[in-house]
Amino acid sequence: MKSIIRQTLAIIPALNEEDSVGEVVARVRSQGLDVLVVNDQSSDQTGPEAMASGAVVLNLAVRLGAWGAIQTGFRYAIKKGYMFGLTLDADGQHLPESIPFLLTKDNIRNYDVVIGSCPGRVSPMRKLAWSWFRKISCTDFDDLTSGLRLYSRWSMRLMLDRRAYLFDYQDMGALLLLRKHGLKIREVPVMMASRESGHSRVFNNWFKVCKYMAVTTLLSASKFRQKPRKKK
Amino acid sequence: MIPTYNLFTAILGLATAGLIIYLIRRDSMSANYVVWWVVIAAGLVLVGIFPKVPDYFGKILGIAYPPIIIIIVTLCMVLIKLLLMDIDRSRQERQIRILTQKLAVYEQEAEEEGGEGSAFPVQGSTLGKRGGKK
Repeated sequence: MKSIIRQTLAIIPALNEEDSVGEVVARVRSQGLDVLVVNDQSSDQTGPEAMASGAVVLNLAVRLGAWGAIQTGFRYAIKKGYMFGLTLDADGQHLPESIPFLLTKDNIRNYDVVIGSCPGRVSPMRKLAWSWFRKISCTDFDDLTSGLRLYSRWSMRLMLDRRAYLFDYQDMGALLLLRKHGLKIREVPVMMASRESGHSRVFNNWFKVCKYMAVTTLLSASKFRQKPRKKK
Repeated sequence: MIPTYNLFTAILGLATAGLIIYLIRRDSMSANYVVWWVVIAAGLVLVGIFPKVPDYFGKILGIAYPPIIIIIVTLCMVLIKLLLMDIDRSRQERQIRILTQKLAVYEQEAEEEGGEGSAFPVQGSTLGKRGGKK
C-alpha cells in the first residue's frame, strides 16, 4: 500500500485558487503523495502558495483550461516515472481523506481509471442535464464531471492521444474517450465538501450554460455507441 | 465593340487575380493555400472576360436566371474555405496546447537541474528554490 502511494502523483489544476490551494496541497501531502500543481495562468498568488506548501509547480505559458492543465500533469507524471496520476480540484471540494478509498489494491489491480463520485452534490438542474447526457451517450456513470479521478500510467498515456487535446474540462469528452479505448472504469462513492471558495466555472452564467449544454450534447451524440477498437 | 459591362467585369476579374498573384509572388501566403487562390483567380478572370459563360451553363442546367450560378458557386467556395479554415484552426489549437504543455514540463526540469545559475533562465525562478520532490 505504501509503495502504491509513493508511485502516485496528485495532479491539481489551479486557476486563481490562492485561498485554498495551500491547504489542499498540505492535506494531500499528509496522505503521503507527491503533489503537482499546474498553474493555469493565475493572476494571484496561487503558484507561490502551492510551492510554499511543498508542491512542485508547473506554470503554463498560455491558459489551457482545466483539462489542458491536467494533461500537463499526466505528461509530467509519465516522464517522472509515476505509475498513477490522481487528479483533484484546488478549491477544496475533494477531500484528500478520500484518497485511500480510490487507491486500494483491488482497484489498482482490476481497473484503469477510478472515479470518486458524489452525485448527491449537484443541483436538480444539473441532475437533469446529466440524465440527458447519459441518455444520448448511452453511458451509466453516476458522476459525469467529478474531477477526482485516479488514472493508471497506461490510461494517462491514452489521454495524451491526439483526440484528447481539444476538451476544456475533465467531463464527458474525457469519459467517452476512455470508453472508446475500452478502459475499465470504476466509480467509488466518496464524500465531497461544498466548495470552500470559488464556484463552478461552468454553471455560473446562462450564456455559458447554454454553450456548455450545446457543446457537450453534440460531443456526446457524435460519439454515440462508439465501441472500443478490437485489440490486436 | 466591347460592351461596357464586359469591360467592367473583365477589369474586376483581372484586378482581383492580379492582387492574388502579387500576394503569392511576395510569399505572403504559405504555398499550401496558393493552389486554392490560383483557381479562384482563374475563375474570376474567366467569368470577367466571358460573362456569357454563366448563361451557357444556365441553359444546360435549366436555370432561368444564370447570374445566380456565380453567386451559388461563390457561396459554396466560401463555405468550403471556412470549413477548411476551422479544421486548420483546430489543428493549430492542438499544436499550441501540446507545445504549452511540453514547455511547462521542460521549464520545471531545467529549473530542477540548473537551479539558480541555469544556462536556461526561466521566468519565475526568482521565487526561490522549490521545495518539491527530490
